[in-house]
Amino acid sequence: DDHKLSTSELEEKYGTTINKGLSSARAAEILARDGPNSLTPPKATPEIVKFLKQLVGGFSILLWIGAVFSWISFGIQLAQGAESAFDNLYLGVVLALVVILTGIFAYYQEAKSTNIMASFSKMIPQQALVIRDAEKKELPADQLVVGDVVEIKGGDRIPADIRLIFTQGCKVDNSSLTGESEPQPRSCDFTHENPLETRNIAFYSTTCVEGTATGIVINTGDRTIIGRIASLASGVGNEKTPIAIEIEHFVYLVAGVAISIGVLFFIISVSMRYKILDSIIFLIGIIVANVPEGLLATVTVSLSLTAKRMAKKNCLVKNLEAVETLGSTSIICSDKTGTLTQNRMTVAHLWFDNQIYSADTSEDQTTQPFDQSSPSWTALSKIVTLCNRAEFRPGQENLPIMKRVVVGDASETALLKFAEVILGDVMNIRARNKKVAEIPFNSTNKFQLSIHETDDPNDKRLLLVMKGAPERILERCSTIMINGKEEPLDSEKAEAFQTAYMELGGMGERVLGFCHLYLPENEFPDTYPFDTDSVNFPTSNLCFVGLLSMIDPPRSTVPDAVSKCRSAGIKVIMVTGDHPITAKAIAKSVGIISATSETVEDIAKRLNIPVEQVNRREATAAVVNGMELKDMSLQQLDEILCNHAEIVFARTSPQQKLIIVEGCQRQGAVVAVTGDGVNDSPALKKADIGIAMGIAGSDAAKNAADMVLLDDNFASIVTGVEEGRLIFDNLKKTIAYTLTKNIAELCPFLIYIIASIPMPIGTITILFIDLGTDIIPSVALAYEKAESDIMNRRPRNKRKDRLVNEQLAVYSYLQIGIMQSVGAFVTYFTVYAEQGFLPSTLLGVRVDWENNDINDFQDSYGQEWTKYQRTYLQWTGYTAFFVSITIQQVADLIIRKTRRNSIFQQGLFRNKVIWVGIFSQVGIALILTYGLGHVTALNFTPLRFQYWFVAVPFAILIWVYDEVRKLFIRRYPGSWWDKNMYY
Amino acid sequence: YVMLLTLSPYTPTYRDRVSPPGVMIRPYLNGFTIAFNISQPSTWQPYVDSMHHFLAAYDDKVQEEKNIECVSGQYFIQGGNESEEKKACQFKRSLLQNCSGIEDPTFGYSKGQPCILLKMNRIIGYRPGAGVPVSVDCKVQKGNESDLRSVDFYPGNGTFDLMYYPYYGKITHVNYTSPLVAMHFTDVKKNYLVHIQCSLNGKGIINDVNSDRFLGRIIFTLSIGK
Repeated sequence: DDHKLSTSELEEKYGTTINKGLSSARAAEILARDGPNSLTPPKATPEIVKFLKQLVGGFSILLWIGAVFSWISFGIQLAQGAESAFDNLYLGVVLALVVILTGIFAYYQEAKSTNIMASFSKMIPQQALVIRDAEKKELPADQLVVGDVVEIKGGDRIPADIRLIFTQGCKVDNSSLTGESEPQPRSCDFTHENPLETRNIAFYSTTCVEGTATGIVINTGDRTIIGRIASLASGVGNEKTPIAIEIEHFVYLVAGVAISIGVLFFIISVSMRYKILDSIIFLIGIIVANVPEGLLATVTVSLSLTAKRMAKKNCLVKNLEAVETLGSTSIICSDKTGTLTQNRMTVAHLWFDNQIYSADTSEDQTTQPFDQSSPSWTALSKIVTLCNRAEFRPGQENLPIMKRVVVGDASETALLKFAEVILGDVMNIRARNKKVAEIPFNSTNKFQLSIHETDDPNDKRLLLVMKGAPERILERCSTIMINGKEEPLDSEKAEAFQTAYMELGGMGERVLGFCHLYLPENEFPDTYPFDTDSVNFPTSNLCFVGLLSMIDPPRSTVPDAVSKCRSAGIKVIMVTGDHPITAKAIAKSVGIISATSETVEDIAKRLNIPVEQVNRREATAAVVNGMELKDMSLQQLDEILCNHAEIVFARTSPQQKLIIVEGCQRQGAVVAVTGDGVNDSPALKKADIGIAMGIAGSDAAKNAADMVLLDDNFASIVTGVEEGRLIFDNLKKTIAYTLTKNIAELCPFLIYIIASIPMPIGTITILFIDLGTDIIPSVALAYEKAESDIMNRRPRNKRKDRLVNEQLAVYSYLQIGIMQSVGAFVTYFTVYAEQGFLPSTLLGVRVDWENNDINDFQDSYGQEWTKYQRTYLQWTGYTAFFVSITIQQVADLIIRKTRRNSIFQQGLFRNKVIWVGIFSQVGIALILTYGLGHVTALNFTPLRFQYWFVAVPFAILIWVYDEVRKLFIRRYPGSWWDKNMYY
Repeated sequence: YVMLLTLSPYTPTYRDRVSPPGVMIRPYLNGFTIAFNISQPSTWQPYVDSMHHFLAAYDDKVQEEKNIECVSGQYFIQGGNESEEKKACQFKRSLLQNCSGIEDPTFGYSKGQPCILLKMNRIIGYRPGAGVPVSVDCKVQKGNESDLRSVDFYPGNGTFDLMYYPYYGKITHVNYTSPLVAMHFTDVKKNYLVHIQCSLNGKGIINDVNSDRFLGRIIFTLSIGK
């Protein structure tokens, strides 16, 4: 309420005096009570906790269990004196290492992407000029306390919330708070009930643009308005990103499968009279086989690859998971200014000779196409050029006109550039038409006037030019110029003017009128003393020349982007602080409101009935005013969001943005929100994905956002959406690829337990597949191009279109996975058979096979084997199994390139990274078998070369099978096959 | 899948993982510690039973009936069709002399001089020693040399006669009986764990690989109590 109090009441309230300020002792007391004047940074999780979280998140806990079991069984076996005990020790260590390494990796990735959060503190001003003990002192701003008297001058940042008691031409830039970039005047007068609106309070972190002021500090630190917004922003819970939910879902699914199969087979093996210890070892194997150890790291890498790709397209992603969130976005709430528009006034239309001409409003105009032959245009252009105070900053001659910096307000800048484009060197023209007198624009007369000599040496008349609000200009005119001739301004012509003015105004454009008058030479010679205060020259009965209208035009890429969004099933809602008419005009021109749709008001106008009688459901579009929104209940808002496909919110306060976002989220939508002001930060936080503007955005907005648009361009969001959708599809492929081989890793254990054959594949070998050969190929899938136009389908339904769905699991596990297992087993049996153990001999052989004391174990041919010879053969089996899984994973990789299209449609060689993946896969396998084949602990042996090809027919089978699947999906869309075989 | 079964008739495609041969001993009950007390027959009776059981196939009568007498000192190479049945050479139990269990049905266990049979693993087509019969020797593996004072080897000087090789696989070489070398430990330190390593010696025999302690050698422990 401080803004309502008088100065003396304030002095009383804060125990201070304006001239002397607080005493140092008193200030110290208050500082001790309130704490320093700084924003408490958001509570950061300690780094170690974050790291530990990575160590126990996801599959890690399962692997820990595996490691602990390994160590327990190592302990028991060691106590029993068994020789093979150390295998379990190694396995445990390897598992622990895997967890720790993937944990470090994930932590590193996260740390890299969360290097933010510090920019709030950057907002704190360094020094403040304070009156204490009747002296002016420079103090660090965080030492300020309530009741301090501070002095501010132009260029300073406001050090705290301040009630102004003395001002001189003070203006503040509140853009960091409200997003409005227009400087606002500040005075000592109480002008509004709302402390945010009143003029006698300056807010912490805003900037004083010009003038000076003195004020009493009324709030410090977190109690300032901005502090409250900041804490509101951190109070808005950080929603889990859709991809995080998907991955969690996937982890639960896989962990569920792992644990249930593990426990099931634990029970089976115990009831088959295996030793408990053995059963535990089986359990570890099953868990390791089932858990895709490398997958989470792969997902992170894929996401960050996409993030990098998006950064190149001007979307800087702060939070990796936001990449995919953008892809699942179903509603985009976009700002208007700067995002949809170019954020600069540009001349859009002209009206002269009773005709409307439209001007080029694109970003890089170099010429203007409209008809410039009329003498009226010559007159008009002269007024535009001369009646203008804006100037280019010197030294920019080489820059394109549109990029030059101009000193002057937005409209004058627009006119200056417009004139420069058409006429060339405006400054030169002005110099040739010397200014004699001038009345600048002010809000009471609403016009601007100047008198010039002309550059026509034969014409000594002075030219009076004037521009201003069209109706005011027209009042002062008695004639109108038509095709260069002055004609009397009769009611018919005034009517034409009105129609044009309404039309341009109706397009949401700012319209200016222009008129001139050649002063008679005899009455006003060169030496005539013009006095702008007494106005000793005519300012009426002028000649009306024309209208110019200006607008902040849409970016040229936006309409295309909006229509892309529309075909992608994404609703684009415009939320702006602008006037509804302007908002609607821009919405129409970019296609947020399509050409054919009507608002309730439009229907009412067309049918000529009151607005209340219109059936609201008939209107596809709606323009909602912030004032209406204020009085709306949540249900009404929901109704609007539901019923209208095309919505524009105009005159909304930034706080209402949050309400709109929440409304959209109640519809189950994934909402992307753009924003730039501090006050947008709660909405940015609340949104599923907050997008801050990189150029116009405040630090707080960038802080709260998940993504920063470097070029502030709406079209970049759409590119981001495309990338996000692509990565979702590609992650699906990656996961399908990774899950497939899990069955080929799991089956050996199950068959080993049930059929008691020698172990087909070792736990460590499995880890070499999961973390060795398979890693690069699965990342390579992230580089896959989209199969079809992904921007032509609807955004995925959060609840139905899961990352890992039943079809994917069934197809990967039970179809391709089984084929792969069969292929691998054939290789395994081939290796054993060719060494003397026919498959029939292998069944039920496990107990004797693993007995250390039996060293004359007979094979199918009567040969006798020592234990070590058998073990070595077993490792050969591991290697063969490994190699055939690798070979079949190559086929798996190729089939996973597409989910629907044939490989030949997609192109086998378009994604080069896939081939890098394939070569790395085979290369790593070669190194492991031949390079490290002699390292006992790794259980690899140099394998006969022909065994590499045993699985090749199965690899081809997998490929053919998948091609057939895809063929049927394409042939019979919607059929049983399509529903069950498309993942 | 069927294709791979047709690939393998009487000999396995590869034999690189079984050779060179491993070694086993009899009696084998569980583990490689042979411990008994002379004075308590129940402690050595299981070993004796195991020996009798194992040697039943080597009874002179059985051998004479099933197998032929071969020429000693050279490989018994049988040509002809691979699928033809192959003849096996007689290895009569009596060749083992003191360890045959014929004169002393307790194989010396009752006297504290146990017999242990050494058997080389069968490998199809393998010709051990490359023309020179493979011989066996034993020494103390760790501990004092004097713990093992004398060992007698039968037959001959503890060699595997060449005539028993090569082996042709269990389908065609049905009655093949592995040749044996009996080791008669006549003077071993009593009441003491004696670790003994018996190795094959011959060309192509490997008996010093650390990772496989049964390749060309065997390590066992004798513990004879009074």
